[in-house]
Amino acid sequence: MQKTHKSGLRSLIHNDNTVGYVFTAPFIIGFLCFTLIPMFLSLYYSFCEYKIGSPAEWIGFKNYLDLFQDSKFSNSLVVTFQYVIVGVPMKLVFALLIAMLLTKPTQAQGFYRAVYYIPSLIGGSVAVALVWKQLFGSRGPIVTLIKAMGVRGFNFFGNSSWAFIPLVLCNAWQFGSSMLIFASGLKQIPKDYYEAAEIDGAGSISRFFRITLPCLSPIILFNLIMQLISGFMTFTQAQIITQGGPNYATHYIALDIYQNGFSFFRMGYACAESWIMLLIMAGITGIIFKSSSYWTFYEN
Amino acid sequence: MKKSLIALCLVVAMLATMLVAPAVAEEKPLGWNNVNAEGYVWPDYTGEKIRFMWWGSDTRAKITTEVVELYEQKTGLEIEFEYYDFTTYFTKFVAYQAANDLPDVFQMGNNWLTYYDTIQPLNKWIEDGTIDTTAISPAMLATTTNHANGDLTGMSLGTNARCFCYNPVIFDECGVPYPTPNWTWDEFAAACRTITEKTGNPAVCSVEFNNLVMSVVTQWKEGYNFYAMDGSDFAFGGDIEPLVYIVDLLNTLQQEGCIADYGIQNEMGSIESDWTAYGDAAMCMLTTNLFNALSKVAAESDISLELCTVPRVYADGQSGMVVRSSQQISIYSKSDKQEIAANFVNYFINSIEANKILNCERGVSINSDVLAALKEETDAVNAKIYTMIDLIGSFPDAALTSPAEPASNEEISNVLKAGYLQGLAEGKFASARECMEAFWAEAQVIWDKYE
Repeated sequence: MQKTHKSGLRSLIHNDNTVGYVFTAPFIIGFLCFTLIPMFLSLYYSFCEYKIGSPAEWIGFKNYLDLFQDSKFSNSLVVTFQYVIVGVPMKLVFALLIAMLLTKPTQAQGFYRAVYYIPSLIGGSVAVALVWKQLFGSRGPIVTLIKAMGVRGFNFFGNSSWAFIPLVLCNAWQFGSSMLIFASGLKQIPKDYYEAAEIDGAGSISRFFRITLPCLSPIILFNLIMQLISGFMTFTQAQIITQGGPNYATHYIALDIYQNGFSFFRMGYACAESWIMLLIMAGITGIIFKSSSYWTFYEN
Repeated sequence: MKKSLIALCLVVAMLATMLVAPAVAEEKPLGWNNVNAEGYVWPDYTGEKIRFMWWGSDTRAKITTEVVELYEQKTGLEIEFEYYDFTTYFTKFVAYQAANDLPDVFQMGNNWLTYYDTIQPLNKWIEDGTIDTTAISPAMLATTTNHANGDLTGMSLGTNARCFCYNPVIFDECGVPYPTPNWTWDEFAAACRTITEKTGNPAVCSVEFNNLVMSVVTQWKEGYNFYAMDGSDFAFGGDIEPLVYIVDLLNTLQQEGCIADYGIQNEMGSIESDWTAYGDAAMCMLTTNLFNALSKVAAESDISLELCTVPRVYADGQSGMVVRSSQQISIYSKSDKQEIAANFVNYFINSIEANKILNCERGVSINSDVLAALKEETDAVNAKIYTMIDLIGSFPDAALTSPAEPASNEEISNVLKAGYLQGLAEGKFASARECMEAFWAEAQVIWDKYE
């Protein structure tokens, strides 16, 4: 009887499913505790008047209705879209350009890849944001250069038309991860295609648009979605460099959520904002996926 | 009126209790826990641990750590501490609050009303003498008292006042007379224009626009204040004339380049980076406790700065300036080490040895013995701070302490600065009047949200 029990336990331990569950358990536990449960809690709180430290009070859709009348929220949406529309394509173009340069075989290829990837490792940090603040500040080298050309009183962070530029550039500077993905994608494109095109007399521009881009389109789709999501969630640079100003010109949605939740203690309202943002991001991602069948190329 | 009367009675009752109760019910003599007394026996807290959290600069971190370590040596207590910059501090504070895990002792600002539930009133330790107040005046205790119920929300870590500082050399070079204690906004504007014209730089660097707007409300008319003393309402009857006056003046000066634009203001991460310290601006606005740090940086460029008052609307009118608690040290309401925390607070506020290290970095000490000891060894910079605090304290309207900041203040201040003042500078409003009418309408909506 005992032997049967032991062999049952052994077979359970050595069962493929058990091994799978054990190995995935850390992720599943982490996902449940730090993602799924907080998500559902935030959904609940979005229907409540909730201040940290006080009990949540159910108020139905009031937070959502208030959001549609909140000019600060709508402004945050506009400036976030502005940031994403300008920043994401700029970053992807830059990443692709560098990836193409780095796929040309050289001895120092590995070194250059590592160097270009460094900004992505440290790019989201407060320290880097502070460096960019100095770089584009009223006494930084860039403004000094602009002033040397005869422009008086210019200041990136004092003017709502210019303030977002350093933030977009700071984001584009962190192109390393997209670059690596592009680089690996470029390596997957069969050389035969280029050789055949060359024989047919296709120039480098023609080869890029007719071979490289179509073959790379699945990678572009992946990078586009990842960068869009990251763009919509931009927070650190805006918080450190401009604090959302001037005149809310860089008051991105993540900043507005943070401010409502932690500065103004309207956590329920902040949760509602988060869910609206989630729906917008999901909608845009869905549209891109749906449209991808028209512009992505899969060999098989 | 009725509320104010009740509040006043409660404060008087509390102070009377504090003075009388020990004499009647205490077995211990008055001042038994005076850490400066000869032969003082330090409590033995070996094996005990408390947590302490504050915000501030690296300088503050260094001196506070030194004081904390000194207390650990004397008592055997282990103090786990953490410190952040101002903005991060309150984000962290709220997160700890949500987890019911705030440190036993924490630094708190004049926004204590927002975090009221987290604060343990100190009254019982004042009454039993654990926190020794024999060298602290009732007026100083009143700066951290909730006037609505008499609760002492913390011990002031020092008093300060908002004022301006200026570089006399630039004033001399531009032929501008030095500010007088009752100089007016017209004189301020004239000085700014002359300095900017002659130097090509903004005359004024850092300016706390919101606080100036609120100060001018007080200056405008006797009895006016932006918020009521107990933080229960606005206290200027919706009269937007003072707001229009000061916003129009500041915006005009900023457009003329006399005051640094919002971009430059935003770049000033700390007072040490203010252009005044490098001779590139003639004036800046600051709180007196920051003058020491600013002067240290200025001294590296051989610049000696002076303090002056905030300009007034009328030379013979109200100053709009107050000597207030710069920040306070409070005890967590859910801490299970409150007795130990109270003893630590007593040491932090009253020890001459500790405060010689702290050197009024958080403000001028509220303990008269400590202050006297510090004044004996003071340097020229701190002497200027003491003189300015004494001067402001002598203004009749400075007897009013700073109003308690209501919970809505954070959002009202934020929209005033980011939405309206910056919006006016960007041409979003046709005039200062239109801008302030819109602000006042929104301020009331925000107020109602927090009611």
